[in-house]
Amino acid sequence: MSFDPQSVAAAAKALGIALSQEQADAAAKSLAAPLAKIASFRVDFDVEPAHYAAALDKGRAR
Amino acid sequence: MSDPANWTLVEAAAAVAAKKISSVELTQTAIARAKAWQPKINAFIALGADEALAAAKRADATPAKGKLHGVPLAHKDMYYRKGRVASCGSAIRRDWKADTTATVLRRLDAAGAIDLGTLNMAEFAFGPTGHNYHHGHCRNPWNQAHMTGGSSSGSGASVAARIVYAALGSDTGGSIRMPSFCNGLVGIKPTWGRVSKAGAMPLSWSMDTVGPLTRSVADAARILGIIAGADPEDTTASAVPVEDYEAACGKSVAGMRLGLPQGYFDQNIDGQVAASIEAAAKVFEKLGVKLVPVKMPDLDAINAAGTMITGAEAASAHRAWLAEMPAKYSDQVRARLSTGLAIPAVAYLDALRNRAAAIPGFIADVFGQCDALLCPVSDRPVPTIAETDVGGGPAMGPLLAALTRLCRPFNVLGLPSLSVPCGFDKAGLPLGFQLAGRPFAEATLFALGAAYERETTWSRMAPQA
Repeated sequence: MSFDPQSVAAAAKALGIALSQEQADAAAKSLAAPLAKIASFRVDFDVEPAHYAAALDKGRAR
Repeated sequence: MSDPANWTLVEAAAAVAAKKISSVELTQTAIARAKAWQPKINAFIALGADEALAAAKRADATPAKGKLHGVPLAHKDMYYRKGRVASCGSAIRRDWKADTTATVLRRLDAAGAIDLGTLNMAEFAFGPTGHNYHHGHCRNPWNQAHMTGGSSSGSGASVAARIVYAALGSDTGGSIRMPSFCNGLVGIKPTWGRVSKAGAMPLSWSMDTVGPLTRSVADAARILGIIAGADPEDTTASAVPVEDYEAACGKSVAGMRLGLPQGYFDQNIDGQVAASIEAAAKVFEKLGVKLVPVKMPDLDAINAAGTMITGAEAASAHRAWLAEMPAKYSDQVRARLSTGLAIPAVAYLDALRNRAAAIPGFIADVFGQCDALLCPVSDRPVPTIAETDVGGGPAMGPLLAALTRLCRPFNVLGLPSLSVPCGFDKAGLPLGFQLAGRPFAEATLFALGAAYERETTWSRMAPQA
Protein backbone atom coordinates (compact mmCIF):
# COMPACT_ATOMS: atom_id res chain seq x y z
CA MET A 1 0.00 0.00 0.00
CA SER A 2 1.95 3.05 -1.22
CA PHE A 3 1.18 6.56 -0.11
CA ASP A 4 2.26 9.94 -1.34
CA PRO A 5 1.50 13.54 -0.37
CA GLN A 6 -0.74 14.05 -3.37
CA SER A 7 -2.93 11.13 -2.28
CA VAL A 8 -3.14 12.57 1.21
CA ALA A 9 -4.09 16.01 -0.05
CA ALA A 10 -6.65 14.55 -2.46
CA ALA A 11 -8.27 12.45 0.29
CA ALA A 12 -8.54 15.49 2.56
CA LYS A 13 -9.84 17.67 -0.26
CA ALA A 14 -12.56 15.14 -1.03
CA LEU A 15 -13.68 15.57 2.58
CA GLY A 16 -13.73 19.36 2.23
CA ILE A 17 -10.41 20.06 3.94
CA ALA A 18 -7.50 21.80 2.27
CA LEU A 19 -4.04 20.72 3.43
CA SER A 20 -0.88 22.65 2.75
CA GLN A 21 1.96 20.92 0.95
CA GLU A 22 3.84 20.75 4.26
CA GLN A 23 0.88 19.12 6.02
CA ALA A 24 0.41 16.61 3.24
CA ASP A 25 4.10 15.75 3.24
CA ALA A 26 4.11 15.20 7.00
CA ALA A 27 0.94 13.09 6.92
CA ALA A 28 2.24 10.89 4.11
CA LYS A 29 5.51 10.38 5.92
CA SER A 30 3.89 9.43 9.22
CA LEU A 31 1.44 7.03 7.59
CA ALA A 32 3.95 5.19 5.43
CA ALA A 33 5.29 2.74 8.01
CA PRO A 34 1.97 1.79 9.69
CA LEU A 35 0.28 1.43 6.32
CA ALA A 36 3.07 -0.87 5.16
CA LYS A 37 2.56 -2.91 8.30
CA ILE A 38 -1.18 -3.09 7.71
CA ALA A 39 -0.52 -4.20 4.14
CA SER A 40 1.54 -7.08 5.49
CA PHE A 41 -1.35 -8.38 7.62
CA ARG A 42 -3.31 -11.37 6.53
CA VAL A 43 -6.43 -11.70 8.63
CA ASP A 44 -8.77 -14.67 8.29
CA PHE A 45 -11.59 -14.03 5.85
CA ASP A 46 -14.33 -14.49 8.47
CA VAL A 47 -12.98 -12.09 11.13
CA GLU A 48 -15.15 -9.01 11.68
CA PRO A 49 -14.20 -5.83 13.59
CA ALA A 50 -17.02 -6.49 16.03
CA HIS A 51 -15.30 -9.68 17.17
CA TYR A 52 -13.13 -7.39 19.31
CA ALA A 53 -15.53 -7.22 22.25
CA ALA A 54 -16.27 -10.92 22.00
CA ALA A 55 -12.54 -11.69 22.03
CA LEU A 56 -12.15 -9.71 25.26
CA ASP A 57 -15.05 -11.54 26.86
CA LYS A 58 -13.72 -14.93 25.78
CA GLY A 59 -10.26 -14.01 27.04
CA ARG A 60 -11.39 -13.62 30.63
CA ALA A 61 -9.95 -15.95 33.26
CA ARG A 62 -12.62 -18.58 34.02
CA MET B 1 -3.66 13.93 63.57
CA SER B 2 -1.47 13.86 60.44
CA ASP B 3 -1.98 16.50 57.74
CA PRO B 4 -5.30 15.61 56.05
CA ALA B 5 -3.93 16.79 52.72
CA ASN B 6 -1.54 13.84 52.76
CA TRP B 7 -4.19 11.20 53.46
CA THR B 8 -5.18 8.71 50.85
CA LEU B 9 -8.72 8.81 49.52
CA VAL B 10 -9.63 5.74 51.57
CA GLU B 11 -8.26 7.40 54.72
CA ALA B 12 -10.06 10.67 54.01
CA ALA B 13 -13.37 8.92 53.38
CA ALA B 14 -13.01 6.95 56.61
CA ALA B 15 -12.23 10.12 58.57
CA VAL B 16 -15.32 11.91 57.23
CA ALA B 17 -17.52 8.87 57.88
CA ALA B 18 -16.23 8.68 61.47
CA LYS B 19 -16.73 12.46 61.85
CA LYS B 20 -13.06 12.94 62.71
CA ILE B 21 -13.05 15.71 60.15
CA SER B 22 -15.82 17.46 58.26
CA SER B 23 -16.26 17.55 54.53
CA VAL B 24 -16.14 21.34 54.75
CA GLU B 25 -12.70 21.19 56.39
CA LEU B 26 -11.40 18.78 53.75
CA THR B 27 -12.85 20.87 50.95
CA GLN B 28 -11.51 24.14 52.37
CA THR B 29 -8.06 22.57 52.54
CA ALA B 30 -8.37 21.38 48.94
CA ILE B 31 -9.44 24.84 47.76
CA ALA B 32 -6.59 26.52 49.59
CA ARG B 33 -4.09 24.10 48.10
CA ALA B 34 -5.60 24.49 44.63
CA LYS B 35 -5.18 28.27 44.84
CA ALA B 36 -1.63 28.01 46.17
CA TRP B 37 -0.50 25.49 43.53
CA GLN B 38 -2.37 26.90 40.51
CA PRO B 39 0.20 29.60 39.57
CA LYS B 40 2.91 26.95 39.60
CA ILE B 41 1.28 23.95 37.93
CA ASN B 42 -1.88 25.21 36.15
CA ALA B 43 -3.77 22.04 37.06
CA PHE B 44 -7.29 23.51 36.98
CA ILE B 45 -9.21 24.90 34.06
CA ALA B 46 -12.10 25.93 36.33
CA LEU B 47 -12.12 25.79 40.12
CA GLY B 48 -15.68 25.51 41.44
CA ALA B 49 -14.93 26.57 45.01
CA ASP B 50 -18.37 27.94 45.93
CA GLU B 51 -20.27 24.98 44.52
CA ALA B 52 -17.90 22.54 46.20
CA LEU B 53 -18.22 24.22 49.59
CA ALA B 54 -22.01 24.24 49.31
CA ALA B 55 -21.93 20.54 48.48
CA ALA B 56 -19.59 19.89 51.40
CA LYS B 57 -21.99 21.65 53.80
CA ARG B 58 -24.84 19.47 52.52
CA ALA B 59 -22.65 16.38 52.96
CA ASP B 60 -21.91 17.32 56.58
CA ALA B 61 -25.62 17.76 57.24
CA THR B 62 -26.62 14.35 55.94
CA PRO B 63 -25.74 10.76 56.87
CA ALA B 64 -22.94 9.21 54.80
CA LYS B 65 -24.48 8.00 51.55
CA GLY B 66 -21.55 6.24 49.94
CA LYS B 67 -17.88 5.32 49.95
CA LEU B 68 -16.77 8.79 48.87
CA HIS B 69 -19.01 10.80 51.15
CA GLY B 70 -17.69 14.34 51.51
CA VAL B 71 -14.36 13.72 49.76
CA PRO B 72 -13.21 16.37 47.26
CA LEU B 73 -12.29 15.15 43.78
CA ALA B 74 -11.87 16.91 40.43
CA HIS B 75 -11.80 15.52 36.92
CA LYS B 76 -10.33 15.95 33.48
CA ASP B 77 -12.35 18.61 31.65
CA MET B 78 -13.94 16.13 29.26
CA TYR B 79 -16.59 14.62 31.54
CA TYR B 80 -19.88 16.35 30.89
CA ARG B 81 -21.95 17.81 33.71
CA LYS B 82 -25.27 19.28 32.68
CA GLY B 83 -25.11 23.08 32.49
CA ARG B 84 -21.34 23.25 33.06
CA VAL B 85 -18.66 24.11 30.52
CA ALA B 86 -16.63 21.11 29.33
CA SER B 87 -13.83 22.69 27.31
CA CYS B 88 -12.15 19.39 26.46
CA GLY B 89 -8.91 21.34 26.71
CA SER B 90 -9.76 23.12 23.48
CA ALA B 91 -10.51 26.56 22.11
CA ILE B 92 -13.40 25.17 20.06
CA ARG B 93 -15.34 24.12 23.17
CA ARG B 94 -14.06 26.86 25.46
CA ASP B 95 -17.61 28.01 26.28
CA TRP B 96 -19.58 24.87 25.39
CA LYS B 97 -21.99 23.70 28.07
CA ALA B 98 -23.01 20.07 28.32
CA ASP B 99 -26.69 19.14 28.26
CA THR B 100 -26.18 15.83 30.02
CA THR B 101 -24.11 14.43 32.88
CA ALA B 102 -21.58 11.66 32.32
CA THR B 103 -22.48 8.30 33.83
CA VAL B 104 -19.17 8.22 35.72
CA LEU B 105 -19.86 11.60 37.33
CA ARG B 106 -23.36 10.49 38.32
CA ARG B 107 -21.89 7.38 39.95
CA LEU B 108 -19.29 9.41 41.84
CA ASP B 109 -22.01 11.87 42.90
CA ALA B 110 -24.12 8.98 44.16
CA ALA B 111 -21.15 7.76 46.22
CA GLY B 112 -21.03 11.18 47.89
CA ALA B 113 -17.98 12.75 46.20
CA ILE B 114 -17.54 16.52 46.13
CA ASP B 115 -16.68 17.90 42.66
CA LEU B 116 -14.08 20.66 42.98
CA GLY B 117 -13.91 21.62 39.31
CA THR B 118 -12.45 20.79 35.95
CA LEU B 119 -8.84 19.89 35.27
CA ASN B 120 -6.38 20.78 32.56
CA MET B 121 -5.81 18.27 29.78
CA ALA B 122 -4.28 17.95 26.35
CA GLU B 123 -6.43 19.53 23.63
CA PHE B 124 -9.19 16.99 22.90
CA ALA B 125 -7.10 14.42 24.85
CA PHE B 126 -4.83 14.11 21.82
CA GLY B 127 -1.33 14.48 23.27
CA PRO B 128 0.93 12.60 25.71
CA THR B 129 2.97 15.47 27.16
CA GLY B 130 0.70 17.93 29.03
CA HIS B 131 1.24 20.84 26.67
CA ASN B 132 -1.85 22.97 26.04
CA TYR B 133 -1.64 26.06 23.87
CA HIS B 134 -5.21 27.23 24.65
CA HIS B 135 -5.35 26.91 28.45
CA GLY B 136 -1.63 26.96 29.27
CA HIS B 137 0.73 24.06 29.79
CA CYS B 138 0.24 21.95 32.87
CA ARG B 139 3.40 21.64 34.97
CA ASN B 140 4.77 18.83 37.08
CA PRO B 141 4.48 19.50 40.84
CA TRP B 142 7.74 17.64 41.44
CA ASN B 143 9.62 20.07 39.18
CA GLN B 144 7.77 22.68 37.19
CA ALA B 145 10.26 22.60 34.32
CA HIS B 146 9.14 19.03 33.59
CA MET B 147 6.08 17.76 31.80
CA THR B 148 3.14 16.17 33.59
CA GLY B 149 2.49 13.71 30.83
CA GLY B 150 -0.87 13.63 29.14
CA SER B 151 -3.43 13.70 28.15
CA SER B 152 -4.79 13.64 31.73
CA SER B 153 -2.26 16.29 32.75
CA GLY B 154 -4.28 18.18 35.36
CA SER B 155 -5.49 14.92 36.87
CA GLY B 156 -1.90 13.88 37.46
CA ALA B 157 -0.74 17.26 38.75
CA SER B 158 -3.71 17.90 41.08
CA VAL B 159 -3.60 14.51 42.79
CA ALA B 160 0.21 14.56 43.11
CA ALA B 161 0.08 18.06 44.61
CA ARG B 162 -2.30 16.71 47.26
CA ILE B 163 -5.09 19.04 46.17
CA VAL B 164 -7.75 16.40 45.46
CA TYR B 165 -7.80 12.78 46.57
CA ALA B 166 -8.41 11.32 43.12
CA ALA B 167 -9.22 12.45 39.60
CA LEU B 168 -10.70 10.80 36.57
CA GLY B 169 -8.55 10.63 33.48
CA SER B 170 -9.03 8.85 30.20
CA ASP B 171 -6.65 6.53 28.36
CA THR B 172 -6.61 5.98 24.59
CA GLY B 173 -2.87 5.50 24.18
CA GLY B 174 -1.44 5.92 27.68
CA SER B 175 -3.24 9.06 28.88
CA ILE B 176 -3.84 7.75 32.42
CA ARG B 177 -0.63 5.75 32.80
CA MET B 178 1.78 8.38 31.45
CA PRO B 179 0.69 11.17 33.85
CA SER B 180 0.60 8.62 36.66
CA PHE B 181 4.20 7.74 35.83
CA CYS B 182 5.27 11.37 35.56
CA ASN B 183 3.61 12.48 38.81
CA GLY B 184 4.32 9.47 41.07
CA LEU B 185 0.73 8.20 41.14
CA VAL B 186 -1.29 5.05 40.69
CA GLY B 187 -3.46 4.90 37.56
CA ILE B 188 -5.72 2.19 36.23
CA LYS B 189 -6.54 1.91 32.54
CA PRO B 190 -9.34 -0.62 32.70
CA THR B 191 -10.36 -3.22 30.15
CA TRP B 192 -12.08 -1.59 27.19
CA GLY B 193 -15.79 -1.56 28.04
CA ARG B 194 -15.27 -2.00 31.80
CA VAL B 195 -16.39 1.63 32.43
CA SER B 196 -19.13 3.52 30.64
CA LYS B 197 -18.08 6.27 28.26
CA ALA B 198 -21.51 7.92 28.18
CA GLY B 199 -21.04 11.66 28.61
CA ALA B 200 -17.28 11.46 28.11
CA MET B 201 -15.68 13.29 25.19
CA PRO B 202 -14.71 10.78 22.50
CA LEU B 203 -11.26 10.62 20.98
CA SER B 204 -11.23 7.13 19.50
CA TRP B 205 -14.38 5.16 20.36
CA SER B 206 -12.92 1.69 20.08
CA MET B 207 -9.83 2.54 22.14
CA ASP B 208 -11.05 5.06 24.74
CA THR B 209 -11.17 4.00 28.39
CA VAL B 210 -12.09 5.83 31.59
CA GLY B 211 -10.23 5.43 34.88
CA PRO B 212 -8.83 7.22 37.93
CA LEU B 213 -5.43 8.60 38.95
CA THR B 214 -4.90 8.19 42.68
CA ARG B 215 -2.40 8.24 45.53
CA SER B 216 -2.65 4.53 46.31
CA VAL B 217 -3.70 1.26 44.75
CA ALA B 218 -6.58 0.89 47.21
CA ASP B 219 -7.84 4.34 46.19
CA ALA B 220 -7.85 3.30 42.54
CA ALA B 221 -9.66 0.09 43.46
CA ARG B 222 -12.34 2.06 45.29
CA ILE B 223 -12.96 4.49 42.43
CA LEU B 224 -13.01 1.78 39.77
CA GLY B 225 -15.42 -0.30 41.85
CA ILE B 226 -17.80 2.67 41.91
CA ILE B 227 -17.65 3.66 38.24
CA ALA B 228 -17.38 0.23 36.56
CA GLY B 229 -20.25 -1.82 35.22
CA ALA B 230 -22.98 -1.97 32.62
CA ASP B 231 -24.76 1.20 31.56
CA PRO B 232 -27.91 1.42 29.44
CA GLU B 233 -26.57 4.70 28.05
CA ASP B 234 -23.45 3.05 26.63
CA THR B 235 -23.99 -0.21 24.79
CA THR B 236 -20.23 -0.86 24.75
CA ALA B 237 -20.13 -0.94 28.56
CA SER B 238 -19.71 -4.57 29.54
CA ALA B 239 -22.14 -6.54 31.68
CA VAL B 240 -19.30 -8.68 33.06
CA PRO B 241 -19.79 -8.61 36.86
CA VAL B 242 -17.64 -6.08 38.73
CA GLU B 243 -15.36 -7.79 41.22
CA ASP B 244 -14.63 -6.55 44.73
CA TYR B 245 -11.47 -4.65 43.83
CA GLU B 246 -10.86 -3.34 47.34
CA ALA B 247 -10.93 -6.87 48.76
CA ALA B 248 -8.46 -7.90 46.06
CA CYS B 249 -5.99 -5.34 47.43
CA GLY B 250 -5.63 -7.40 50.60
CA LYS B 251 -5.02 -10.74 48.93
CA SER B 252 -1.72 -12.64 49.04
CA VAL B 253 0.16 -12.72 45.77
CA ALA B 254 2.46 -15.59 46.73
CA GLY B 255 2.47 -18.14 43.94
CA MET B 256 1.29 -15.72 41.27
CA ARG B 257 3.28 -15.65 38.05
CA LEU B 258 4.59 -12.30 36.83
CA GLY B 259 5.77 -12.14 33.23
CA LEU B 260 8.99 -10.31 32.39
CA PRO B 261 8.67 -9.38 28.70
CA GLN B 262 11.42 -10.56 26.39
CA GLY B 263 11.36 -8.18 23.44
CA TYR B 264 9.64 -4.86 22.72
CA PHE B 265 9.28 -3.69 26.35
CA ASP B 266 12.99 -4.19 27.00
CA GLN B 267 14.11 -2.45 23.81
CA ASN B 268 15.57 1.09 23.81
CA ILE B 269 14.85 1.64 27.51
CA ASP B 270 16.79 4.24 29.51
CA GLY B 271 19.10 2.76 32.12
CA GLN B 272 17.38 4.41 35.09
CA VAL B 273 13.99 3.15 33.94
CA ALA B 274 15.32 -0.36 33.35
CA ALA B 275 16.95 -0.42 36.78
CA SER B 276 13.68 0.61 38.43
CA ILE B 277 11.84 -2.24 36.72
CA GLU B 278 14.51 -4.73 37.81
CA ALA B 279 14.24 -3.46 41.38
CA ALA B 280 10.46 -3.79 41.29
CA ALA B 281 10.77 -7.37 40.03
CA LYS B 282 12.94 -8.17 43.04
CA VAL B 283 10.27 -6.83 45.38
CA PHE B 284 7.70 -9.10 43.75
CA GLU B 285 10.07 -12.04 44.03
CA LYS B 286 10.43 -11.34 47.73
CA LEU B 287 6.64 -11.48 47.98
CA GLY B 288 6.67 -15.03 46.64
CA VAL B 289 5.71 -14.09 43.10
CA LYS B 290 7.27 -16.32 40.45
CA LEU B 291 9.06 -14.32 37.74
CA VAL B 292 8.60 -15.81 34.29
CA PRO B 293 10.35 -14.63 31.11
CA VAL B 294 7.71 -14.23 28.39
CA LYS B 295 8.54 -13.71 24.73
CA MET B 296 6.52 -10.88 23.21
CA PRO B 297 4.66 -11.27 19.92
CA ASP B 298 4.96 -8.64 17.15
CA LEU B 299 3.75 -5.57 19.01
CA ASP B 300 4.93 -3.21 16.27
CA ALA B 301 2.08 -4.65 14.20
CA ILE B 302 -0.32 -4.01 17.07
CA ASN B 303 0.97 -0.44 17.35
CA ALA B 304 0.50 0.10 13.62
CA ALA B 305 -3.11 -1.01 13.98
CA GLY B 306 -3.48 1.49 16.82
CA THR B 307 -2.18 4.32 14.64
CA MET B 308 -4.77 3.48 11.97
CA ILE B 309 -7.64 3.10 14.42
CA THR B 310 -7.06 6.21 16.51
CA GLY B 311 -6.13 8.27 13.47
CA ALA B 312 -9.24 7.37 11.50
CA GLU B 313 -11.69 7.54 14.41
CA ALA B 314 -10.37 10.88 15.69
CA ALA B 315 -10.35 12.36 12.18
CA SER B 316 -13.95 11.28 11.70
CA ALA B 317 -15.03 12.85 14.99
CA HIS B 318 -13.28 16.13 14.14
CA ARG B 319 -13.82 16.30 10.36
CA ALA B 320 -16.53 18.96 10.42
CA TRP B 321 -14.59 21.27 12.75
CA LEU B 322 -11.39 20.71 10.75
CA ALA B 323 -13.23 21.95 7.66
CA GLU B 324 -14.99 24.84 9.40
CA MET B 325 -12.41 26.20 11.84
CA PRO B 326 -8.97 24.64 11.35
CA ALA B 327 -7.22 27.65 12.90
CA LYS B 328 -8.86 26.91 16.24
CA TYR B 329 -6.74 23.78 16.67
CA SER B 330 -3.15 23.92 17.87
CA ASP B 331 -0.59 23.05 15.19
CA GLN B 332 0.10 19.63 16.70
CA VAL B 333 -3.49 18.48 17.06
CA ARG B 334 -4.45 19.80 13.62
CA ALA B 335 -1.48 17.99 12.08
CA ARG B 336 -2.36 14.70 13.76
CA LEU B 337 -6.03 14.94 12.84
CA SER B 338 -5.17 15.86 9.25
CA THR B 339 -3.08 12.73 8.98
CA GLY B 340 -6.07 10.64 9.94
CA LEU B 341 -8.13 12.07 7.07
CA ALA B 342 -5.97 10.21 4.60
CA ILE B 343 -6.24 6.73 6.12
CA PRO B 344 -8.01 4.50 3.61
CA ALA B 345 -11.22 2.89 4.85
CA VAL B 346 -9.85 -0.55 4.04
CA ALA B 347 -6.70 0.08 6.09
CA TYR B 348 -8.84 1.17 9.05
CA LEU B 349 -11.06 -1.89 8.77
CA ASP B 350 -8.08 -4.19 8.35
CA ALA B 351 -6.60 -2.71 11.52
CA LEU B 352 -9.85 -3.41 13.38
CA ARG B 353 -10.00 -6.95 12.02
CA ASN B 354 -6.36 -7.56 12.83
CA ARG B 355 -6.95 -6.44 16.39
CA ALA B 356 -9.91 -8.77 16.77
CA ALA B 357 -7.82 -11.63 15.43
CA ALA B 358 -4.73 -10.81 17.51
CA ILE B 359 -6.38 -10.74 20.94
CA PRO B 360 -6.99 -14.49 21.39
CA GLY B 361 -3.43 -15.29 20.32
CA PHE B 362 -1.89 -12.68 22.61
CA ILE B 363 -3.92 -13.90 25.57
CA ALA B 364 -3.07 -17.53 24.93
CA ASP B 365 0.63 -16.94 24.26
CA VAL B 366 1.26 -14.43 27.04
CA PHE B 367 -1.29 -15.07 29.75
CA GLY B 368 -0.98 -18.81 29.29
CA GLN B 369 2.39 -18.34 30.97
CA CYS B 370 1.73 -15.64 33.57
CA ASP B 371 -0.99 -13.83 35.52
CA ALA B 372 0.28 -10.36 34.63
CA LEU B 373 3.10 -8.64 32.75
CA LEU B 374 5.55 -6.24 34.41
CA CYS B 375 6.48 -3.49 31.92
CA PRO B 376 7.86 0.03 31.87
CA VAL B 377 5.37 2.84 31.22
CA SER B 378 7.89 5.12 29.56
CA ASP B 379 11.16 4.45 27.78
CA ARG B 380 12.74 7.47 29.52
CA PRO B 381 12.64 9.49 32.73
CA VAL B 382 10.19 12.40 32.77
CA PRO B 383 11.38 14.90 30.11
CA THR B 384 11.15 18.66 30.44
CA ILE B 385 8.39 20.72 28.88
CA ALA B 386 10.98 22.38 26.63
CA GLU B 387 12.38 19.06 25.38
CA THR B 388 8.94 17.89 24.32
CA ASP B 389 7.69 21.19 22.88
CA VAL B 390 7.77 20.04 19.25
CA GLY B 391 4.50 21.52 17.97
CA GLY B 392 3.32 20.04 14.68
CA GLY B 393 6.72 19.94 12.99
CA PRO B 394 8.84 17.05 11.76
CA ALA B 395 10.02 16.08 15.26
CA MET B 396 6.43 15.48 16.38
CA GLY B 397 5.82 12.04 14.89
CA PRO B 398 8.93 10.28 16.23
CA LEU B 399 8.62 11.88 19.69
CA LEU B 400 4.95 11.06 20.20
CA ALA B 401 5.42 7.55 18.85
CA ALA B 402 8.26 6.97 21.31
CA LEU B 403 6.36 8.42 24.27
CA THR B 404 3.30 6.20 23.65
CA ARG B 405 5.10 3.08 22.43
CA LEU B 406 4.97 1.15 25.70
CA CYS B 407 1.40 2.04 26.66
CA ARG B 408 -0.47 1.85 23.37
CA PRO B 409 -0.36 -1.94 22.77
CA PHE B 410 -2.65 -2.48 25.75
CA ASN B 411 -5.13 0.04 24.35
CA VAL B 412 -5.19 -1.71 20.98
CA LEU B 413 -5.61 -5.08 22.68
CA GLY B 414 -8.20 -3.69 25.11
CA LEU B 415 -6.37 -5.08 28.14
CA PRO B 416 -6.27 -3.59 31.64
CA SER B 417 -3.06 -2.01 32.90
CA LEU B 418 -2.20 -0.57 36.31
CA SER B 419 0.55 2.04 36.65
CA VAL B 420 2.35 2.08 40.02
CA PRO B 421 5.14 4.42 41.24
CA CYS B 422 8.45 2.65 41.89
CA GLY B 423 11.09 5.26 42.64
CA PHE B 424 12.72 8.47 41.49
CA ASP B 425 15.32 9.33 38.87
CA LYS B 426 18.54 11.23 39.49
CA ALA B 427 16.72 14.53 38.91
CA GLY B 428 14.11 13.72 41.56
CA LEU B 429 11.27 12.98 39.15
CA PRO B 430 9.08 9.91 39.73
CA LEU B 431 9.44 6.56 37.99
CA GLY B 432 6.84 3.81 37.66
CA PHE B 433 5.92 0.48 36.10
CA GLN B 434 2.74 -0.96 34.64
CA LEU B 435 1.12 -4.31 35.29
CA ALA B 436 -1.00 -5.60 32.40
CA GLY B 437 -3.40 -8.51 32.61
CA ARG B 438 -6.11 -10.54 30.95
CA PRO B 439 -9.38 -8.86 29.99
CA PHE B 440 -11.36 -7.93 33.11
CA ALA B 441 -8.50 -9.05 35.39
CA GLU B 442 -8.31 -5.69 37.18
CA ALA B 443 -8.59 -7.47 40.55
CA THR B 444 -5.40 -9.41 39.86
CA LEU B 445 -3.56 -6.19 39.01
CA PHE B 446 -4.83 -4.50 42.17
CA ALA B 447 -3.68 -7.46 44.28
CA LEU B 448 -0.18 -7.29 42.80
CA GLY B 449 0.02 -3.51 42.94
CA ALA B 450 -1.18 -3.29 46.53
CA ALA B 451 1.25 -6.01 47.65
CA TYR B 452 4.11 -4.08 46.03
CA GLU B 453 2.93 -0.87 47.64
CA ARG B 454 2.93 -2.42 51.10
CA GLU B 455 6.62 -3.31 50.66
CA THR B 456 7.66 0.15 49.49
CA THR B 457 7.15 3.81 50.37
CA TRP B 458 7.03 5.46 46.93
CA SER B 459 3.27 6.10 46.97
CA ARG B 460 3.53 7.98 50.26
CA MET B 461 5.94 10.58 48.94
CA ALA B 462 4.59 13.98 47.96
CA PRO B 463 6.09 17.01 46.22
CA GLN B 464 6.78 20.05 48.36
CA ALA B 465 4.78 23.21 47.73
